[in-house]
Amino acid sequence: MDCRECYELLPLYVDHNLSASEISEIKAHLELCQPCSQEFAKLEATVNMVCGLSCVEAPSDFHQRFMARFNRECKPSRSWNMWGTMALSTAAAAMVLLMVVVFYNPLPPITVASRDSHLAKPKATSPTQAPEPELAAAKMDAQPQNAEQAARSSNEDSRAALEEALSLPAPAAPREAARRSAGLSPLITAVDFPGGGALASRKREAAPAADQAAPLVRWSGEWSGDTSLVQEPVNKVLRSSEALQELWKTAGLKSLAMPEVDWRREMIGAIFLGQQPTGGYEIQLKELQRNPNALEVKYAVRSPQDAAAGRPTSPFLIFRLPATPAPVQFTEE
Amino acid sequence: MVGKVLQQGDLIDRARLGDRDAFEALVRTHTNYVYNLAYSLTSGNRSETDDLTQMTFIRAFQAMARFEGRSEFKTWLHRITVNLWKNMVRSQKRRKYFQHHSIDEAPSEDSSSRPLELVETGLDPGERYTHQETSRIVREAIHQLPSDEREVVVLRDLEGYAYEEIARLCRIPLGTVKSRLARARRLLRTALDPVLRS
Repeated sequence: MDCRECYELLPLYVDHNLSASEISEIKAHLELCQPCSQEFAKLEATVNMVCGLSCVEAPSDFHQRFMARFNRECKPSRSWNMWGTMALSTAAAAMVLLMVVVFYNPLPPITVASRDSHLAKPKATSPTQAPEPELAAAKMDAQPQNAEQAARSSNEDSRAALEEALSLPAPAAPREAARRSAGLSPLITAVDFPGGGALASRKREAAPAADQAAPLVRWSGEWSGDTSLVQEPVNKVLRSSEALQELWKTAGLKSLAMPEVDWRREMIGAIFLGQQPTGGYEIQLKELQRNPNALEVKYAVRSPQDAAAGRPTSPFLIFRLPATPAPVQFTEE
Repeated sequence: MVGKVLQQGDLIDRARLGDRDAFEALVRTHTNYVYNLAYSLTSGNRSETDDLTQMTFIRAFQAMARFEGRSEFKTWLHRITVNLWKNMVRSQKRRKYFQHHSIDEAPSEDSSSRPLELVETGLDPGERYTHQETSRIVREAIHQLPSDEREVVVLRDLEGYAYEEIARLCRIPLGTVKSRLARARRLLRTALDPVLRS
């Protein structure tokens, strides 16, 4: 072993974390080479100084200061009572189940039947046509395709385009997951629209994280409200400014600022629940998922707690999607 | 308050369900361990040590439900501490914030806020001063190491972990542990040369 090799291995020779042959070679070299031997002595002394650093004990007031911060930053949602909490959870679950059984009543179509009667209905999955649907002024004619048609239209090109179109920045799942783990809800910003009544705009930073294997994509810029001219349930995908303007006009959304859309990268999705007997309905986007042949929009509809309150409404949710020629499938959870 | 008869496993189970008293008991048990690690990683910076230790326990509480017991609770705390410290270093680099620790060392705080350094008993005042001064210089030299090297040398030479354990804790190959440790020791040997000569 020469001095160079020895020099490289000396730092680990200090605690003999080398192979037996390396240790014996270094040992032999150090007996013959004074400079390397001196270098080893200094390294050994260095390590001994580091190892010899004293332990410390936390200051006597540390725990008190920590608990103050802990109580400030980790506020209990309610006082801890394990059995009480379990009993409360059980009772709540039973109540929810009871309400579902008693009050579940799928709404029948409200307006006259149209040739789009197979469009999105509550508790249903509705694939929506990939190409731009034409709007009929009175009844939001979406010219939908059924699943079979949608599947036919999704050829290899559209798949490739889908891959490309959806190659947006990854969702900020860790941040959202962190918010979730901290017990926080997604970021929601209420915005007053001039003359918009109950309109509100919600912006989410990213789609929430999920465990599904299919990749998630993100949405942004949601617009929601409970007053529109759309009287029957319909889901729509808009891929041009003309279509968006038509929607704004036919759905009576003039009081709501029309979003500016970069159509090369974005398109617009819209969920209309149709006429509902009361206010208080809320449409929530849950997930956008890139499936092999379609972009799946998962959403949930929250029914009002007070079923007898308010006037009839026609709730809607409009949101940006990454542009894709592939079919968009709406799934109500 | 949770009685002392509860074993650590029981405390962990209860803390995972959100029992704050159980978690507080766990904090008391592990404070000095985490504090020492934080003290070494921050090279004796009091305010950073305090902050890092507190943040470690807060993060641990927030993530308790996800602690599955695959590793020891202490190891889990260790990993949280090191990860938070790395974030702290990255954040400091971004803000070019390295120098502020010297300001924090102004000796104006209450003595109860200072960590208690456990030095050998039986030293006369002169020896005690020399010991403390040497400790300060060594900690400062550790503080000057790049964060990757500092992490490994703290784990090995201060915490006494085996190379394989360090590789597991830091999620790096064993060879990387060895190369970082070798580099760290060489840098320290150069930085401490004046002390070694004296």
